[in-house]
Amino acid sequence: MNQFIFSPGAWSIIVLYIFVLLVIGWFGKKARKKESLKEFYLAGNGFGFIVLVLTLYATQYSGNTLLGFTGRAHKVGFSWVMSLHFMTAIVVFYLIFAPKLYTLSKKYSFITPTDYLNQRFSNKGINIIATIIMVLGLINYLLSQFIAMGRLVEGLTDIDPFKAFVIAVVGLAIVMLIYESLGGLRAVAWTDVIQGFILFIGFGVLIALVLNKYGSMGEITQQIFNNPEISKKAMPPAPVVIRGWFSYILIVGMGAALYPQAIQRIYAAKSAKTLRRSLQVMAFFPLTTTLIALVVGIFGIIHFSTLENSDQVLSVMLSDIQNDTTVGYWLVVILFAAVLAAIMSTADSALLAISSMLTKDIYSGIINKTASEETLTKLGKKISIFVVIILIGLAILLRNEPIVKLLDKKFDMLIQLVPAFFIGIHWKRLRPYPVFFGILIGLIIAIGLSLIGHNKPFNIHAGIYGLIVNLFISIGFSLFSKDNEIREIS
Amino acid sequence: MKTRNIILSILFILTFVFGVPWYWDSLDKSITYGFPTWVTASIFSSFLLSCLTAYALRKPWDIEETEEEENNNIK
Repeated sequence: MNQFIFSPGAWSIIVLYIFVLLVIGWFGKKARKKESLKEFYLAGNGFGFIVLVLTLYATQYSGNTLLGFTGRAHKVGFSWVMSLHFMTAIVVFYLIFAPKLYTLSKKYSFITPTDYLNQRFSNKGINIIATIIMVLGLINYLLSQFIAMGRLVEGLTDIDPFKAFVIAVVGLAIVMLIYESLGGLRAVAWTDVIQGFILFIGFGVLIALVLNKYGSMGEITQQIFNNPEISKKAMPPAPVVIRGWFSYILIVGMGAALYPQAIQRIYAAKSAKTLRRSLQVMAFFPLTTTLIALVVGIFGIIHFSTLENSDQVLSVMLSDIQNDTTVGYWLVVILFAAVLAAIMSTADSALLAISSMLTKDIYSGIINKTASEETLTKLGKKISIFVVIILIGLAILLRNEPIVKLLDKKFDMLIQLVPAFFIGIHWKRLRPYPVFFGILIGLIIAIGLSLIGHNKPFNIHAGIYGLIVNLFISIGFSLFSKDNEIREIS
Repeated sequence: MKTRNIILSILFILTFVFGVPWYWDSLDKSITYGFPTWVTASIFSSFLLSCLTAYALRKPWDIEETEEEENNNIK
């Protein structure tokens, strides 16, 4: 692999960037008015338009968008244009439940997604199973971000790659922990503003560099068509791949809309108008992010055709560009900061969401219902430390797992919450027990199929099969239920 | 369900289905705007979906009236 090494000057830029994050964390602490869960996990009275849109952007577009998506485009070719659709689908699915959820969150002061479920269904089983699904899903997500952090840095130094991986994961995780413990969601969102801005600039720099260095898109497409060995990467997909598209768009669209950290940002909007406008802007971000990742991966098909590990295509390409000119070198440094920003902004949000759910839904909801807000906030910080230690260990153990593969599994679980959120928020007749058993059986099917080696029967995600049965159970049994108690939700 | 929502839902589904290239000739090698034509069509449909989403979000939600009233009361 064509390696490039950062100079001390380049590293000092990165160190400066990390230092700024810590300073923001400190300001976040100063801005905190009291030790309460709402202050720590939802930043008090909420965010205005700029902060909300950038925190949504930085949280949704992760290190995976830059590293994993370019890798996937390099591997499968133009078919990866479906990533554009599933990222847009996330915002489309918000239309189904975000307006009502926002209204309820203000009325009942929700902090975690489970708060909504508790208010809607008052069923301990649903609360527990939903919290477990969301925490496991997020742990999976966070783990993939940790691995991405390590991989990114290991290619930039001349020390042993394993050592570099460990130092990067441990070091960056500690930085995240510090600013998050200091300022909670306020610090995370404020750092997201910086990170989102750098990420946005980074995508622009990336496409400009790639087009400048490797020529036009039309030439690359023609070259792919002309080479019989790789031409299928540019041809319209076969029916079996098409089924995969539908499956991917549905599972990622619905699953990512249910990310707890995203739901908490719905709660944290200052007003409905702010949230509505932020989502309007979010609808267009796939065209400036995933589309660029696709184009970069496609250029890699021609210029780095022998690359064995597609996840490395971006770093190999950057090293190629960096060696050309001094301007190229510094632009790559900016891009590196952008990738780091993308990873850290997603990871810190996921970590905060895990900590809030374990503290509020598990400890305060089940173990110690009388715990004070101050105790819970302190406990939340300790939980974050514990989760980070476990995940650092796992990241080191699983450092060679492909990133997209790691990400795939959590959506199979998360979409089992679709009936409870998407339907339950509108349809008053949806009952707790059918919802609980729907989720349970949906999970058994999704996980069971994966365990027996059928992750995608007929190229459709196992979670989709689980969801179909889940929907039949929750809607069917609710319709035939004689229980007259209907909970008011509006 | 309001008529506006029904029309929007139908448009969403149509745009989504148009974005997936199930209807394309599997041997097509034409290029439009630098991309294989089926990819350009797919990107265009994604752009339409974004526009549709932004349009659907144009209309104020019911809660915004309540929020405005509350703000006026505070003033």
